[in-house]
Amino acid sequence: MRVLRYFFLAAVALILQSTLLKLVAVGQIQPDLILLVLFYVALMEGSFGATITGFCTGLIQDVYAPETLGLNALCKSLVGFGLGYCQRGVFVESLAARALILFGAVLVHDILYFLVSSWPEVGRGLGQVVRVGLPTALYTALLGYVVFYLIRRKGQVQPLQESS
Amino acid sequence: MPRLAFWTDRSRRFIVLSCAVITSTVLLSMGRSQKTMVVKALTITALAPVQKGISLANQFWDVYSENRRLRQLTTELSLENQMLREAQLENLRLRQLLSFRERQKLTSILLAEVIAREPTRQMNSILVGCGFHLGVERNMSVVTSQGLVGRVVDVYHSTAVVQVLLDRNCPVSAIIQRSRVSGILAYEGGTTFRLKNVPWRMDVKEGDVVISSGLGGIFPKGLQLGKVSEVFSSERELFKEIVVEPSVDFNSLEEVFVILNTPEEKEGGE
Repeated sequence: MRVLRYFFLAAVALILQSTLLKLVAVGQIQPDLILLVLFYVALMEGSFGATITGFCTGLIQDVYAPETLGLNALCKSLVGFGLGYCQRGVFVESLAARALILFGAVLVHDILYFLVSSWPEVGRGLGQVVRVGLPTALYTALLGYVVFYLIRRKGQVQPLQESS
Repeated sequence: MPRLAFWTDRSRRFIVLSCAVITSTVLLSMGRSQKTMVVKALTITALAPVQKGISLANQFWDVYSENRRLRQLTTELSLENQMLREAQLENLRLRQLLSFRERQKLTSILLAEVIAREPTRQMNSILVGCGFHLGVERNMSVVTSQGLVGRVVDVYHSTAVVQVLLDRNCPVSAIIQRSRVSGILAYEGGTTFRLKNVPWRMDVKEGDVVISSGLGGIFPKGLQLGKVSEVFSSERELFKEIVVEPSVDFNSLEEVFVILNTPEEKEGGE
């Protein structure tokens, strides 16, 4: 049942990412809903589920950009694993702390993505990180803060305690 | 056993990560043609339903965007169409005015736009957008292609007040075009004129055209005033009661001509 829920969440995030998020874009910057879902999965399921979710959602995104096939899957797998690993057995109560972790996750994801995609032109990759990665991370973190707040009000976040 | 469970869980996570990283890296390192094949295979087999959902959502978005764009375009075109229609009507009116000018052999007339109506005043009048800076003077006649509208009663720098015929104080000396019977055309309320002072035995029929006679000294001769719509006569009465339908639609005046002089005046002046 949980798997179905995550699948549904990921599908919705993918659809929204390629459609309605254009409406809330600031300039060219859109929040990364898929990473937000990945963060949620990592929080609930730990690194195992987050890695698989990251890989699958990344692969689906890659299908639309065959030139970099595997890049999104790689970045999201690593970020999913990292998020799950960091939150192993720890339930971060503070919304600000969660938003900060999300900010870091998006930034790490974008650093990986832009550096690998523009390799060996590291300067160009770093430029993209500054121009796109940072604002995206900020926007996603802000959106995440709102989402976490709403989820907390409903009292739905009960993380899975992983064995450590 | 707990130690074994720890290793199993931990190794499971790292195995999954390793598989993901290896697969991604292999995909990344593939050539373009191989990637295309993989993408096709993935799309057709495992990802087809998801892709279909995303495509549907994209299509929905495209349709929504196109709908908005088309709505905007429709509004713009509708406005443009209205403006063009208005321009066409204006063109038609101006053509009629020009043909009227040629028909009446009026050498010096001035086109003026009606900029205001003053029906609430004691005098029924309109305000036109030309004044003495263009040579307009008091008592000049104002016409349209349909016929006589009235006369100028007040002149300012760039505007002039025109007393229209639908005013009780603006009688016109008139004649019946067919039988040349003369009378005084006057407004007595409602939407029609009365032709007065026509003896009961004079030849006036419904449908006769009434024109200005030129005898009053203000309006030129031959300008159409209206058509006889009803005639009442009795031997007991001295005069006929003649109802005249105005030829000018006073409610839809937009452009008028001010007659600055007439050929007769010109000839007289020479």
